[in-house]
Amino acid sequence: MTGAAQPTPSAPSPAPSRLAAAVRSTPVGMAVIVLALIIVFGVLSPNGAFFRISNLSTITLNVAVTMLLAVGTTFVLASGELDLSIGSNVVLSSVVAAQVLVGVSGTYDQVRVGEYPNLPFGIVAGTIAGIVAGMAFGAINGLLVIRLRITSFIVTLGTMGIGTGLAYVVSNGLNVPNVPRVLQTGFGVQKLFGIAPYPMIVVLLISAVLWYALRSTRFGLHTLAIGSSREAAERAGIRSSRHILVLFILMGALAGVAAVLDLTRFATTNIGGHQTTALAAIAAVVIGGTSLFGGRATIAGSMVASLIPVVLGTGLVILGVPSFYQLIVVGAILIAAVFVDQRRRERLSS
Amino acid sequence: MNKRLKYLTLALGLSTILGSGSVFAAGEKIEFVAGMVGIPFYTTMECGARDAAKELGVSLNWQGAPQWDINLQMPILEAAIERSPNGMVLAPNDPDALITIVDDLVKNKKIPVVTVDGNLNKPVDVQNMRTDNLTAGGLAAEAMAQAIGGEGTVLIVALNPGVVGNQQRADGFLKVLKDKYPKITVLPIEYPGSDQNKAAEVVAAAIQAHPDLKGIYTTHSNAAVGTSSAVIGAGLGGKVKIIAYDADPQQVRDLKAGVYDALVVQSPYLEGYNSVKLVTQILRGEVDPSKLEKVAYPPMVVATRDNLDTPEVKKGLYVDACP
Repeated sequence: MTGAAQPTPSAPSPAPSRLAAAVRSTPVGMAVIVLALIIVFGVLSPNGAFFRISNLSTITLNVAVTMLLAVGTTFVLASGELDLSIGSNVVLSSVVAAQVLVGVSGTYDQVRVGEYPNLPFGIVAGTIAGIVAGMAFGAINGLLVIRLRITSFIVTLGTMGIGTGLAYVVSNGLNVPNVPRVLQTGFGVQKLFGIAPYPMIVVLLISAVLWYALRSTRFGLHTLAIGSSREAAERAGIRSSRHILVLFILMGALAGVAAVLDLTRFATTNIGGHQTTALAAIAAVVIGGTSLFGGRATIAGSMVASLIPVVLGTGLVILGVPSFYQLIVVGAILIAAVFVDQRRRERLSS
Repeated sequence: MNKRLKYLTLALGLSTILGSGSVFAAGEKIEFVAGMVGIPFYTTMECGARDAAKELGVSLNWQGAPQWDINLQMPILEAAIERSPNGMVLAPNDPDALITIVDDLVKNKKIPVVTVDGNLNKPVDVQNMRTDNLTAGGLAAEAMAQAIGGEGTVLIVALNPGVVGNQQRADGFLKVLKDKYPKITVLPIEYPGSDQNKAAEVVAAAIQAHPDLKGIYTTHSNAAVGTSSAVIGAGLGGKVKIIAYDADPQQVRDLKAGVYDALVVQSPYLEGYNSVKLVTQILRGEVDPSKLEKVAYPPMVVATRDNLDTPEVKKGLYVDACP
């Protein structure tokens, strides 16, 4: 963390050495836990099925959208805010993206029989529309938070319902029909060199940029400063309201990207879905070591922690654990993982 | 004065006619509380209900929550009762939670209630119309056995435990496989809920764990979407056979394209049409509710690429919007 020189009270004091600090950090702890889980599942699974490249790469595909949203949520939490509406933002943005994509790709009579004469143009327009819709959603969240001075928990709880309702209104309560399946077969489930799923590549590229932004730019520094103490940040000359607005728009843009990725993955919208998405993203961020109350944040931690539920879900199915027990085991391991990491950091720093 | 009164009467009469939505409305008000809205299955049911209402001249109010959730359905049901209807059709989201309310409606308030799609654990309604899920599951099992050649490993992707109708789809499937196809191994049932992503996750894992996996039976459309995504992603499209439930427009296209190998087609149109018709007939004294069978099963079919164009199958397919 480069924030040592700034007046940010709760930022951790500079460690004696970078290595020691890294070992003590939650991302590393979580990475160890994820690796341990992978090894355990790999050893226990029949024929080492869990170790197969195709399995590991499918896990990354399954985690892509949650990971992207967790990265965005890291910024939001870092500034001391919360966004509960990202699931409904994803749904609304995917509906907008799908409608524009289908509408631009061909006339109704063409698309209903599976012909898409303007498909490339439709994909570009749909992608842009989805991201713009997500940003607009985020901008509304941000404006409500800074202008009405209502806590973001309440604002986004409200817009969560509004967004879902709007998605039903826009889609007339139906999943957008006639989404071209080639989105799925050509991109959504495709893997570069047969290994790296395309959606995951998109997520990693965006995450890398945001990781750098949080760690090494003034933008990231200001985010953490606001999360530590908004008053202090204001006194230091940071325009916190504008910054928070930008963060919500960023979160919205990522929800828009997630919506487009989701659309390519399933070749349909999912208007009844994403109800636990916000919770999953926030959980990954907090488990990864970001403070729920702002000021301390780690993108790497969020990314690693978002892997845990999917690794568990996949591993337990491969082991043949009946689905009722899967729920119990997943919950127990989540709690245990955080506990182990906490103890480890306490021991190392004492 | 007299003239004025006439105009007033005319205006009132006109507004009644316009307000009721049908020139022939005899005035019976029927509330239809759907199991959920937003899926072609219920849209098709709505089309059936509206067609019946139009033909019989009753006013129909169609309401439903966007999700299958008893906590969301309860306020909608309560509001429907507040509108003091003459009769009601209800697709109960829970087999137990609504028994008291329906019992009170039928016995004390003298409002005939027909239930559709889901059912109540105690038959306090005048009739229940639903898919015979056990038989449907059996039909799916036959289709599966045919698709995979009578042997191999298959997986069932269901909804949530405790959803009786959905569980029966799995049970009927299991029973037929057990009785008639001993060479088919069935993996433990997976319950991803209505989450496509989770369905894709469990199917992807099952493909890894069982290289001999030959077929997947999905008991609802979100499971089917997640399953097909995972199967195509594993490069096994067409090799791992998918038998899906329901016949949404997109699913029918996917059946043609080879993503699915058979679709179990329920009869939502008939459930909507027949239920509104029955309630109306009871209200008009044409049917004696005490002489009704407690359960009626509308007919259903299994659609495959071979029989998709036969009129019998074609007319059962679901729609995105009423024609």
